[in-house]
Amino acid sequence: MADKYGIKISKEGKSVHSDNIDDFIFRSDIQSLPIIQKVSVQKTINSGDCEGTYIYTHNLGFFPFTKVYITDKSFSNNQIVPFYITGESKTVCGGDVLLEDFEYSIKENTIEINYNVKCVIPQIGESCPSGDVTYTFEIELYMFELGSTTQYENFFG
Amino acid sequence: MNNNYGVKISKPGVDVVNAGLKDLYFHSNYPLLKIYDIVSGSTSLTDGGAGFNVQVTQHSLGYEPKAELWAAYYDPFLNTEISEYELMPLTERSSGGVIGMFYTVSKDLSEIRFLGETYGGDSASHTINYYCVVYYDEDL
Repeated sequence: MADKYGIKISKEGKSVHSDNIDDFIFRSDIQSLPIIQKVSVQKTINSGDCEGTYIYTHNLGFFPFTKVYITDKSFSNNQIVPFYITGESKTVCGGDVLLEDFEYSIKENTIEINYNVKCVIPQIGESCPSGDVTYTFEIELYMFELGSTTQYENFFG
Repeated sequence: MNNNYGVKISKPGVDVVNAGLKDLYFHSNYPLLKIYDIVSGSTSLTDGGAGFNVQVTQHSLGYEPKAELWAAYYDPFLNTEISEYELMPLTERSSGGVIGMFYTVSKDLSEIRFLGETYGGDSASHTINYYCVVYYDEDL
């Protein structure tokens, strides 16, 4: 890359000729993170389905850098996944504590969200909630392949 | 998204005309992840006490934003102040309920708060340092 060309946008008050990468909003010689897919899906978990996997098909054919957020209606919106929380008493657990455990894996054509939502009953153990619990997942897929090379190479000299 | 104009930037050595999405650094048809705010702070926690509930930052986005909060926290199970930053929320309770830690993040239309409580540890006071990144959340 002997040619010195490209696009640089510096932060306010910083020189576009700076050698410090932190001084830039955008540089065309550095991987950015454009969002290429963003979906919101609802999943209702009930007494017969409190541990399992929700599969979202993206069909990109590569492992995309992905963020997943969860909203459970009884907590703040858009909590980052992995999400594990226990300690709150819920009516679907007869007043016992609800355990909510979510994590996800990234595959070439799917995102798999594993869920485990159980009531924790003292001295007895765990059981599925007696009623439905509905969650909303927001899945963001980025234009960056996990494992790909992104080593910074200064095009500008 | 059918514009026949825009900007695409491919990785070094890749023909931008034929490059797939995974071989691009940038494509103007797709919005970039944008950071609204980055804040840092610290608070104190007394194990076995009332816990903390601090405002991390205020915002005027008009919606509950997406945010990631990392904290160097006190772990009563290990009786240690963890020096690395881990993503919150983080909650754990021993099977007998004797030891527990509950670090959570709450958000609404105007602010982000960080809450924490531990018990069963050393009953001492600890400093909890944290960083929070708040994102714009636009529709595609």
